Amino acid sequence: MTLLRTIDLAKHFVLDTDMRGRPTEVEKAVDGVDLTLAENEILGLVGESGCGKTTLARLLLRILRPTRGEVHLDGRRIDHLSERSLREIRPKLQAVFQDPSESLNPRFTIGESIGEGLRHLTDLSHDESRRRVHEGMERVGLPARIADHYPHQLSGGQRQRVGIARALVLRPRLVILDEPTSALDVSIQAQIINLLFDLKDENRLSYIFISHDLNLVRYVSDRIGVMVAGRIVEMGPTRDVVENPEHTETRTLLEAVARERVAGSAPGGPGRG
Amino acid sequence: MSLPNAQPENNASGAAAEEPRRILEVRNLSVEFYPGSTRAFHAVVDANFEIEAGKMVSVVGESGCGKTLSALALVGLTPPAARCRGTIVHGSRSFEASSSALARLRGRDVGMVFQEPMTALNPLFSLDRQFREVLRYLRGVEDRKEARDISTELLDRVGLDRPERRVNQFPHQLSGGQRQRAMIALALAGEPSLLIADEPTTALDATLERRVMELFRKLADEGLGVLMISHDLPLVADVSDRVVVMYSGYTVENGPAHQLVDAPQHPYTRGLVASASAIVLGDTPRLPVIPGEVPSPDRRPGGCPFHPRCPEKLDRCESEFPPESEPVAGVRTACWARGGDQ
Repeated sequence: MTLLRTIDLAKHFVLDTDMRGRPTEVEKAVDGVDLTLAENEILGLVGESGCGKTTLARLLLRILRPTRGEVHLDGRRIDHLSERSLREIRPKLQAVFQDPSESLNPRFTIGESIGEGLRHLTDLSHDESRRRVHEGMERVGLPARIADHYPHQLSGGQRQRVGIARALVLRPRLVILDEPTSALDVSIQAQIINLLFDLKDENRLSYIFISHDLNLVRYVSDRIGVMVAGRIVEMGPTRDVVENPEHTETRTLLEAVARERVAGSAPGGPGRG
Repeated sequence: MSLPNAQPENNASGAAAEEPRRILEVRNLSVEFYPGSTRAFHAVVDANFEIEAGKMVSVVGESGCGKTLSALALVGLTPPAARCRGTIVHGSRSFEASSSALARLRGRDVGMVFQEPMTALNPLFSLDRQFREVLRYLRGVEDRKEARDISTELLDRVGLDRPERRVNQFPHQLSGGQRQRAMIALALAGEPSLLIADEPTTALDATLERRVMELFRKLADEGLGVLMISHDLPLVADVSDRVVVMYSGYTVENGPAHQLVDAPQHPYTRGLVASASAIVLGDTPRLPVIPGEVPSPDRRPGGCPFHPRCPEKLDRCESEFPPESEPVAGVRTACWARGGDQ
């Protein structure tokens, strides 16, 4: 079942105008993106920095209004909705960002941060919200006692769990994961990836997984889209894109990671030393 | 898991006649914060490693493991609250780790490249002018024309295209990768024998990251010693000669790069390699994980700091840090489960 669909989605930023206010220089950050995402599916988005991945994510979340094109969620068109009508939609569309220390309010306790969305976007009672927050914390592996702690008292991995719990308590359908592990320590990354898989299976979530780490995207995603200069130049099942890249950009990205040898993964060849 | 008859690295032990020149030797380096006070703690404990000319050595570990401090200590750049102990031998000169004389090595003997090139370059001056300043200070080059020729040559050496034009440009006119190359060229201006690079590619894309790493390899092949600080074992293992793995201030493994990924010895290195290779292989529904959290150095568990997360923990791991052993030729590791009691 299709959960999300975009048609010719675009966002152009006007960089300069002439004296009469007509645009003379336009940055086409996202320029004509058509994509579909099924329920319980993970779509990986890769591309070099500045290719428009994050702008696309913001359009899907309706943090930005598109210049043209359409976004449909669950068969309903959402790109033109007013802020008021969006209130119903927002819980279904959630995001987890790269740096958990920057996306958490340092003056909110962990419990307040996780419950903030519930306060603003739902009509749950205070007690009901608290119960949901505790449930969410337990689910992502955070001890209940840290609900009264502040972000600076947590480790990086714990903070990212808070970021995930905050999205999860709203019972979303789609979670956009924008480099969710790249600020984490190496030994913590695998824990978070596994947690994201578990949560997806339990709740039939769909993910859009944005990363510049092609190895990780390949591991995580069912399908991969490769973005270059605001457009998706290649999209398909992960295996097809990786084994049969059609676009030069995809090949360049693949070559960069292919030579990183790790045990058992490389077709041999002596190392240095 | 182990490689049969793996070739021990040329210079793994002792000094023989035909060896490349050793340009750095670090002996029992410790860095302690707030010594003597109640909140005193060690950020680096007894680090030992060495670098020969033409070799690239990478120090790998997670945040707070002491990798950056170990590198900063080599040129006396540790923060004022820290006290360094141990011996640092640069070429033929031996220094106390606490010696202020280490500062005089900066630039001429040791070049340094840091994480974010935009904060290290002056946005108001062209590359030419920034090179001129460094060349005058480090090499006494007064002549503008000469300085310009040297800068162009350096930019060419680090693979910047059209160096004779680039030299006139300002930092904002360069891309992230070009800026980092310019920084590397600047670090080479004093003709150092050792280049220290602290996570030089974290601000870069995967493809650029790779190319910059290859540049460091090329510089090592040209005869420089390179000390690379990184959190990314798979990335550096491919271009380095040796890798030193640090965990919470302690050196847990030190061996030839290829052996470290093909046959890691320490349970921590094994965990890191297992996660990384599972991501690459992609045939398991979940990743192997190292459970638990990275301890902060001021709340480090006793004994071996890895013991609360270790799948091979023995009783004595809780009380004593293991001595170094050599379970495979050329690989030094500190682990009771790898014959630390020999």
